[in-house]
Amino acid sequence: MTQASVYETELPIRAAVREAHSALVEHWSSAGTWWSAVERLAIVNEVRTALDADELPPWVAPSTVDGLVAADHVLPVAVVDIIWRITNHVSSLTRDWYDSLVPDQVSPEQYVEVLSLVSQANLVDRFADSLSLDRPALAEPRPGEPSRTRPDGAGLARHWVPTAPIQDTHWSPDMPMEAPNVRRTLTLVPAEAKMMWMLTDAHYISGGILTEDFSSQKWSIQRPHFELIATRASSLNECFY
Amino acid sequence: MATGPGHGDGGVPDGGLVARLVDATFGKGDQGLDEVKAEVRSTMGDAALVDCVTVISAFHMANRLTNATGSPIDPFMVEATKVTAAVLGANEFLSRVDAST
Repeated sequence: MTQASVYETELPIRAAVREAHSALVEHWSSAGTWWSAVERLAIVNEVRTALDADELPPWVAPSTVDGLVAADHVLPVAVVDIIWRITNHVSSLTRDWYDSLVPDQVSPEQYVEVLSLVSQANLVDRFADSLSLDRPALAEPRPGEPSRTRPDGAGLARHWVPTAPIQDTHWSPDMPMEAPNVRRTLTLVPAEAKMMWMLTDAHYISGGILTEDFSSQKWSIQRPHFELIATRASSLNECFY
Repeated sequence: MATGPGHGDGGVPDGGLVARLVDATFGKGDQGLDEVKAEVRSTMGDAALVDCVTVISAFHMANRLTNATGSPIDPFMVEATKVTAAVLGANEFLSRVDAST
């Protein structure tokens, strides 16, 4: 998929966004760290199913609704439930909910990779839906096995999930403080953390330069618009962070 | 303006309109998304519409990452959070429980 063809539109979508979404389509169709390409595509497809479904209350798992989840689904039932919950009820996620799933039904590593893919798909599809664009077409799964590699130094620190030391200098060395906790969320699966930073650069602040006015990055909106959108959207998603 | 209508632009150029756009993308507010988008395009331009949606999308990702992992507030944000959380009604969020201020 070329960057230009990821969206067929005259709307002025930033090149960085086109590049990032094109890269995601390839990323989803490749074997990951803990899930195969077939499984990763199934995760993205399930996000789309959840987005388009009639609303279910957060306490009703789709796997408990007759006919909603195929008996021969590629993914474990618990993963389907995780996908729907994170996609449609982001405000309802609790430690108890997480503990009911991890590690008995999915490993922390598997959960982090699922979370990454679900978050990526929500970013892309809600972007497309909001602009009345076709969602990016998914590619065929590529051959290959999950790498199953765990980063050195991973362990429980500040989050529910284990995290690992940030391995690259993507966080701007000019920033006086350490990388924020949001940038640590996926470090248990470095390949996913890398994609998150790419998306953050394209969709928000490149390299975490919070002090810039963003004019050098050629946005058509100003810093106050960013802050307004961030606050309003996070409030609607009931994200305290 | 950050949490509801009736606060004008809050000093942000077209801030009220941008806030209504955010709401509409969430299926909230009094206007349909197509209506608000048309207003953004005619008032602020196509590029502004796309850029606003670009940033909104970023928070659909970021909010899920933090809420689904119990990300605590960063030390450099603790004091500012105490001030703003009450104003925004954020202390009522479930995600507040693990934010560890």
